[in-house]
Amino acid sequence: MGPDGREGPGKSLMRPEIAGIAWSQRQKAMGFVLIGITLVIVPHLMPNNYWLRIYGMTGIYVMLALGLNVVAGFAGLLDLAYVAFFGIGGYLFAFFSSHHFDIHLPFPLVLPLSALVTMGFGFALGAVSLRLKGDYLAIVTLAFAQIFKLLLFNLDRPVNITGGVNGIFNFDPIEIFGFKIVSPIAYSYLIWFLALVVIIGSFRIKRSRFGRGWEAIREDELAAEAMGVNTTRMKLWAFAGGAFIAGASGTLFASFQDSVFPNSFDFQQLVVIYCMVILGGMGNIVGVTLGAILLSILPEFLREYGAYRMMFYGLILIVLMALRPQGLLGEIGFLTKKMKRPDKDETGVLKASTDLYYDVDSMKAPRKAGYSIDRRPILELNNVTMNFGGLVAVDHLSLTLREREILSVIGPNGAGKTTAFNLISGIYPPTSGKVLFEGTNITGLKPHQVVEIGIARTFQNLRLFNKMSVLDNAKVSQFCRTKSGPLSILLRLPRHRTEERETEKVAKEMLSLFGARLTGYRFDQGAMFLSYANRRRLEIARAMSTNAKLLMLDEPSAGMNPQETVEITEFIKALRDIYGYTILVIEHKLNVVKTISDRVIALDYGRKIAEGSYEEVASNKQVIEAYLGRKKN
Amino acid sequence: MDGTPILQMEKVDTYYGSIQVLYGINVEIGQGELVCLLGGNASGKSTLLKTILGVCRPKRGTVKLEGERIDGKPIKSIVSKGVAIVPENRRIFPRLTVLENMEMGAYLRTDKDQVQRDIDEMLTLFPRLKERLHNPGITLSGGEQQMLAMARALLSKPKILLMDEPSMGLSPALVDQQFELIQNVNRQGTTIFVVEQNANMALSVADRGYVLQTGSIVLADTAQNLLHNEMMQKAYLGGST
Amino acid sequence: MIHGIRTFLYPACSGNDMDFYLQQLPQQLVNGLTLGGVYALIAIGYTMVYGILSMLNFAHGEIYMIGGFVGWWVLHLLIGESGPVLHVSLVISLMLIIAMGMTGLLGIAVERFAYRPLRKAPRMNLLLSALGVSIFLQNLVLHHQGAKARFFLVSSLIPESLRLFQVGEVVFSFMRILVIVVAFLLMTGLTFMIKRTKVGKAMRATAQDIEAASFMGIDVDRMIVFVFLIGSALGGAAGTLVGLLFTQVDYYVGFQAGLKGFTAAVLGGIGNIYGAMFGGILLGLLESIATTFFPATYKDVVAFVVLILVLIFRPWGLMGEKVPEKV
Repeated sequence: MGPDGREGPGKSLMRPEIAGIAWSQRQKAMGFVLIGITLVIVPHLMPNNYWLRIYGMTGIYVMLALGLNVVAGFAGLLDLAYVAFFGIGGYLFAFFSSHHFDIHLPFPLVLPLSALVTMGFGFALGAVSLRLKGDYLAIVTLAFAQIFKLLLFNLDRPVNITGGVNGIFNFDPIEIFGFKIVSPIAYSYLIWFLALVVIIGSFRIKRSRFGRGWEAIREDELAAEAMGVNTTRMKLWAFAGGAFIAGASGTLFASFQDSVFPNSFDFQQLVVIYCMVILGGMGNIVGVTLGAILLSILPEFLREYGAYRMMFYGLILIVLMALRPQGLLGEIGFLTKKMKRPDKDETGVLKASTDLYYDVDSMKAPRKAGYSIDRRPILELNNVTMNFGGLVAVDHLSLTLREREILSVIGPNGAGKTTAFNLISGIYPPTSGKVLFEGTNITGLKPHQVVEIGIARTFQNLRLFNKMSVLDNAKVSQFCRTKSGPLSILLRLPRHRTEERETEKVAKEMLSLFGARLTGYRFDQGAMFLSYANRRRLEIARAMSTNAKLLMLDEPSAGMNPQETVEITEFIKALRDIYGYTILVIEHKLNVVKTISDRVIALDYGRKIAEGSYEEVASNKQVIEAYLGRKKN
Repeated sequence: MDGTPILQMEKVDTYYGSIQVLYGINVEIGQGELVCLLGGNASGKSTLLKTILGVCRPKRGTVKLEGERIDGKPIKSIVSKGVAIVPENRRIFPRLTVLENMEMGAYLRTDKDQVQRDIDEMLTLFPRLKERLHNPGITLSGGEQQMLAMARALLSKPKILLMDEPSMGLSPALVDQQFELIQNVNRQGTTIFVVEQNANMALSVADRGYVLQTGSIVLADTAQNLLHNEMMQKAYLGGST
Repeated sequence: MIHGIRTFLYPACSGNDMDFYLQQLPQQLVNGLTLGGVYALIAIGYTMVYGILSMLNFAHGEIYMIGGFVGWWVLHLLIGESGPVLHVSLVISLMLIIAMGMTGLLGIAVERFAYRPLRKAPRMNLLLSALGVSIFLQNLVLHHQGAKARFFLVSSLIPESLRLFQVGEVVFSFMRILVIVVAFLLMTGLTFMIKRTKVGKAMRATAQDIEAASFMGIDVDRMIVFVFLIGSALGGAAGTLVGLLFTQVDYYVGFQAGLKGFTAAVLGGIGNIYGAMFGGILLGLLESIATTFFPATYKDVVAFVVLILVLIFRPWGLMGEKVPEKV
């Protein structure tokens, strides 16, 4: 329990939650029973075969949309080749279960096999497009989709692989555990059962380190990398995950239609799927499901307006992007009760958050340990230089940071302070020189590897994952401390559950160090709704959640008022004194520097111009000149 | 200072979203003056200039150019009324030639012949630019870019010239040169308002100075007085005392 | 089997290979330049919009397509029972002018209603909106005109004797020459405008540094409208020219042409107008030469492969500058 009685990190962490509301176990079970009953009954309610087929196709669309939701919704990657994976899954079924190549594998084998093979293609596409961002990624994937379609049309000569424009048809009837799946009703059961599996899988993945890692990448890839997320691997997994689901859907689709031909997997189909995902709200599982259902059924009611259908889809995209890009249900979650925000009073004015919930004295701070040269060096920079094509931002900088030391870096704008941070945290490698952490050479490591080693940083201009909750922001940082893969997550294996508990524990612990500001109801609040000072605090908490030994704080008190500044100053001191952190700080407010620093170094034009205690550096003529400027000749 | 001041800011508050960046700014600049605005990082200097230019809209207070209110007006309108800026890092158009850059400075002017004469005048003032007349801006050295940025801004025949951190990104030698240039231009009659981090340099050429600290003006005096004011160091470098 | 593959890859193989290719060369060059001119015109539209707004105008391909339809419509109007009502040159000029005018206006409308509201939105939203416009326009035309192609009655436009003529080994068609000439004239006109006129320079300035341009008093919104006007008009011209060249247009041509035009723009260096011209011509030549070696149905693959290779290995194109990402 925190000092003012609010919820502390000790509370039970195993409350099951679905999209913003806490559901009890009983409610959950009832929900499943209800859904189960619905799925059993509905096929029999369909008036005729035609509607039964629509029902089946809707289930397939739900899966397809959820698959796209993984790569575009969660991870924010504009994959325009997605429909090609759908096609690959379909054609693989044609290859594995028909007279075409005279291969007749049983369905329970074909389904996972095609999905896996398609996933392989997903990895391949991801690998090729790794370096591309936004628009370029979209175009390259689109080009691949075009090539795919071209191949489908043309690979019927000289050897008939794809059946050309007519495609392939007449497949083997499928059978699962002795049950023949031939009638539309049987297909409906199979399809919707699998759709349900995908829905549940989506929820599980979303709430795991994978889901958080993806969302972090979507929000701010650089920050994600800097918080320990292996962005390269996660992007590959995003492509692969989407491809897996699309492949499975394609296989089902092929069997259901008993045919595959190129036009089923064209750009128009892609647009339809995108509309479903966007309409529902990218990343929002319930939304996407509803969007898929809506957009599958709606055209049936608009049959007469056949050609208008695609125009309608185009218009949906335009209007949604202009007026409501978060979709009908938004990212925040379906069925979110309009909770009263305790930090706003009745008139809607934000209450001040500067009350000092945080009581330093009660933490029984030991006496400040003085700077001792005997303590081992944690961080060393040896003659590090950063040359940006002619502009030398950091010039042969050497420094040593010892255990439990707070070293402040000061200097005018453009002196190279943030560049030095970037070099240490691995955002780009230095042109020359070495960076050592606890004796190990970490020069040139990627940012997420640097985090793993034990260094975490904050950003001068705040790079929070704005649309993620406060708690999730902190949880992302535990990415590199956990190892669960997709299988563990989807099957809820013990290892995954343990890791989730640990992740939540660490995150809540770090957040609670800031008193009640980032805890309790705040856990689930979107980061973008916090006050400026709280955002700065969250940035620090997030860095701490990486289990770092060394913290690099870039202007932690920027923009804070005097009261908040005092508080953060005391907090940083406590980090060293009580929690044993080693800290490197860039700061401009010299009173802060004076209070917290064991040592200070001053930079100007990328070079170290002074080093020593605060008193020594602050009175150094060169330093004063650097700040106030040289006198004119 | 006689007559209507060229620029007047009264009780200006500017916000970035919900965060207040400027608090009750009062600034006055008279015809022909060279005034500097000093302050450390995050003091709000750039925001102040942006407020004058119209990039930011003040939430409260007024900004007047020769007595006429310009706060809230679009940038194009304010520029056409006679405000020119040499932006931070100069920002000359990299793939336009020196001549084209200068022509852009005179974009809003309609008196073509006079523009040509003014360009010639600039080229006499900056012979180095004349040599590079048809070279793209990006091929110019740092010092030449300074001159070009200045020439470009002056070609709009502004009532007041704003300069955003002219020393930024320049080597010490070029900084000297830059401020000499500023002084010269001012001596020829242009009113200049310089925002600068390098206090000593700016004060050595300015008539007066304002010191900004976390969004409020904490000192305002003649340049000479400020140079010898001990409070400067404190105000400039310190955070909340 | 080997023979089968060989025929697959070298459909034109017969006898003395080298001679054959050399024979083909001048013809392919002309074809390549013709295609290249068209690609260049389309590419310019993409590159201009990208240069000023940093966005890919996905809908540009459909604007090209609509240009083709407008051109067809004008031609259709001006051809009576016994041939064209006006002189050939006048007919073609009218086709071009009206197509360019209407597509220019269409481009402005698209910017105003689909893109301007998203000025400050994340890039992904803009791209999705552009996708939406593309789909919308494509299906609008499909709905309005049907799926069947429209044919340009070129035969009644040009007397038999002029349609084809031979110079040495090479067979020229009137249309090809026309396309090359018109493309060349339009590009020259554009170059003149951006280099010599005040508004052209202002446009370049805006593309290079939009904020600094606003500091000069340039009306940035107006520049953006202008860019869409010109870029779209050129795309529309390309549509009409292609219609004349291949004598038909249908609702789907925009998609493919758009991708190729985009490839050309990227190849030359996106944002660089001269790059777009260069990239267009280069792509046309590459595609033309490729048809000697690959079956015709695969010729589109050339463009896509080039696109993928360029974007992965040299995204700033052949004439662009590498722009480092700022942290």
